[in-house]
Amino acid sequence: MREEKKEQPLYKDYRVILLVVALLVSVFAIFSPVGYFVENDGLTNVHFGLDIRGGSTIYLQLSGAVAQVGAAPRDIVTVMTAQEFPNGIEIVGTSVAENGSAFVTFRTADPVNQTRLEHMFNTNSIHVSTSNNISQVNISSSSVGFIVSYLSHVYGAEVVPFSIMGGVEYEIRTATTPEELSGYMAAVNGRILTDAAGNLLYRDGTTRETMQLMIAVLNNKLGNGLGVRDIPIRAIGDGFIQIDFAGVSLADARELVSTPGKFEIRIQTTGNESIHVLYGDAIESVGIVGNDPSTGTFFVPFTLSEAGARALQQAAISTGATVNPNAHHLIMLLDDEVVYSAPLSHSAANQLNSQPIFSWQAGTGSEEEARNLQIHLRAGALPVNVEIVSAGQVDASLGQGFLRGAILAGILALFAVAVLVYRRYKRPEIAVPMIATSFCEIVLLIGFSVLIMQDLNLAAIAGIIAVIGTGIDHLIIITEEVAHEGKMPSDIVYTKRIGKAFMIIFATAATTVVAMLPLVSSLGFGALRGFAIVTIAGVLIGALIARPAYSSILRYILIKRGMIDEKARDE
Amino acid sequence: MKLDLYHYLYPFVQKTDNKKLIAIPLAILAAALLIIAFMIIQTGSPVALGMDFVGGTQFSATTTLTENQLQEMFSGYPLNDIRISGNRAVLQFSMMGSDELQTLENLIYNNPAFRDIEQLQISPIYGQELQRSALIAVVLSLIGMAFVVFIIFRQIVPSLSLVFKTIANIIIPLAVMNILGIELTLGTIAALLMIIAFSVDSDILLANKVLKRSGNLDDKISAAMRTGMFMTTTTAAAFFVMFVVSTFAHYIIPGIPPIPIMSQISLIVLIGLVADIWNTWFFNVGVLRMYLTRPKGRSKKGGRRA
Repeated sequence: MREEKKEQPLYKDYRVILLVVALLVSVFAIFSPVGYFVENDGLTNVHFGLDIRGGSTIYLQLSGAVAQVGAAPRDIVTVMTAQEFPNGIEIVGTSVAENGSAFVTFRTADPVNQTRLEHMFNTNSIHVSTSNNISQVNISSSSVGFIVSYLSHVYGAEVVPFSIMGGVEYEIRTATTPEELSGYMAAVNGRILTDAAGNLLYRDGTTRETMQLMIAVLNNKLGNGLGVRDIPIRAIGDGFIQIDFAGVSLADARELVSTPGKFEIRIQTTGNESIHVLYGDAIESVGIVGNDPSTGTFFVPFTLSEAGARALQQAAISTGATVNPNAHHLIMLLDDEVVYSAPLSHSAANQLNSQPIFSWQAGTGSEEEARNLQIHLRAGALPVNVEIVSAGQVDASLGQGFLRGAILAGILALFAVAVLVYRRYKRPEIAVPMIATSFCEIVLLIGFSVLIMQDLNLAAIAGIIAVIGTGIDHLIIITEEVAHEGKMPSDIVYTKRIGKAFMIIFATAATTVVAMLPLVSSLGFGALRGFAIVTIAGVLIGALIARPAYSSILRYILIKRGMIDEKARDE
Repeated sequence: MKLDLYHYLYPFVQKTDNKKLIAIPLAILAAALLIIAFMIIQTGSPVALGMDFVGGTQFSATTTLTENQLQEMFSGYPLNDIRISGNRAVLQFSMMGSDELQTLENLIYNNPAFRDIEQLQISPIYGQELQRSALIAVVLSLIGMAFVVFIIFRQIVPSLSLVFKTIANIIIPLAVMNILGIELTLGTIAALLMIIAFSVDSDILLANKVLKRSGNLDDKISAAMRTGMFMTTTTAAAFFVMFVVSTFAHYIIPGIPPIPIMSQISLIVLIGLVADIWNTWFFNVGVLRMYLTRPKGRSKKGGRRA
């Protein structure tokens, strides 16, 4: 029967073709001088982790909390103005409309400073009428606006509302606890809202949007500082950020993170000349990008400190910007580069003639420009306070030593496995393809890591060595399931046995993937992510590409050598 | 001479009564749990937590200074621990303020007596966060593994036996860590997850043979054991080499420093692999043999799916 059968040549077997193609792609990825994955230093394109290249890593914790709270505007106004009006106020009217807009009207016998109230409640809609030493004040805002004003007032920090399904989340951008927040809310007869199960709607950290903004601001700021475009910055969970600094000492990295960029606002005098108005420290808060549907333009709201607002007013008057805004642009610079330049609006120019303005809006033509401006405005200060909670540094010379050790461990591990395999099968026809396959798996895995831009740190290299271990396990299953006693069975039996072998292989591969998945998700382990990704990729590459090819090659070699088990029957 | 462990273990497995066979791994597990319980009573934690989880600052450097010299040099700082292996010293400090840390850094980085420096600093808050994440990762990994195993086997007893044995495979390394004074670090967590992944390999092979194929039970167990033990041997060999190179190479080759994370991963996986031998071939084989030869009638459909 054997004589009639014509064996398909190996180069026509799709499993072998797949392996060869994958190997070529991997070798190309590892050594190619062109491609998005090219690594400039070193002989290969392998992206080594910081513990090998040398450099520092910093983990930042974002101080902040996100909560849903409720309180009535009248109580908020009473509490917030207690210091402003020592004789107290008498609420004469209040209302919260269905669309969320709200107002509070009160009377007081104390003098009223309208600008301060506008600043306090962050609204321009304050009307004061005074007669007989009694002032009647009307503050129009929204129920959300009153709560934001109150929380920023008590925390002395920025508070940003985010609309979500069925409510509003308030992001408090400073460290707090649910107890502290509860206390503040109780002072205005309010509370932290609870869900249906009675749990407080409160969590530490920030919203996704703010995390993204943090990463963008850090990228911008650190990129400027180091003169590089993209720094690996990664969010870890809701409250942590990991930053890798290749080739930078920890002391320098700390300095970079904690030193804000230099933000400056200037006003044009004549031509290219301009005068200084204020620095980034005068910017108290930067809001989220808004748009004006009537004009189709976008804007970034920001508020100035008292000193900043006065400085801007003075500068605008002295340069003549209040009279002729178009000739005297407001210029914003970040690290001495112009990031924004536009004239004052006519209404702002008019208002500046009589009083300072605290709340500003910088208008832009497109949403992207607005987002960039928002980041630039932020570069003076990070949106959320951060604390370095973990840091590490590896000397480059030490990293080189680590790499030598890791490579030696890999080579010796493969060698040890080869010796065991040869001792067991005592035949090069089996041992050589087995070890060669294992070697191919490593090449494929390294090539894959280059293509997906995965850093290989020491833990990931441990993952590669682990893949040698599991890979050989699976090759042993194929060999011993199929070629019992080192001989190939007839076609039918072969097909059945190889099916069983691969059932075992896929089952174990699936378990490994599932067991490693928790480390790939954003659990707090930057350090072990690479390890998990490499292990998962290695198992999949082995099970789907290398091991099928091995089964074909083994079969081909054993049949060529006439090692056929005529008596093999299906079990 | 036969080096294969199989030749020594199989005769024992074949002739030993199922209950005795199961009792051995259970006894070892009980001992491990006792050690861990003792540790919990003493320290409140099942295993000593390393710096990754409690916080602090650690410096590793190549140096010729002796332990006493180092003690003296850093007497003004909250130095917790010095470990020296060969020419490599690891210094662990408690958390300190940023000014104090900075002077300490200057002292170390500007001193030519220290070369190839590695620094790691973790705040206690972040350490707690890592503890929480580590626990979640291990639990999720176990649940995921159990889920896959139930889908593959679709039989309660073999699946439960495998899940139980996997848990034993990670409890025993924890107990051994207590005995050897090894601390729990991120590397050892990675190793525990790897043990969860590796644990099922030989069992799926075993179950596939004894549950899904016909033939003499002893022969099937013998065949699975022959293959499975060899698989464990090769995996263990790879990790043993990794352990030796990452832990001891620097005594022979000066250019290769010890690599703590690889050393931790390989040692714990090795312990897990050794525990896996009796947990698979004593415990799981015992359970499967009892399950397959149990008196019929209780389950009418017959659990055996040949």
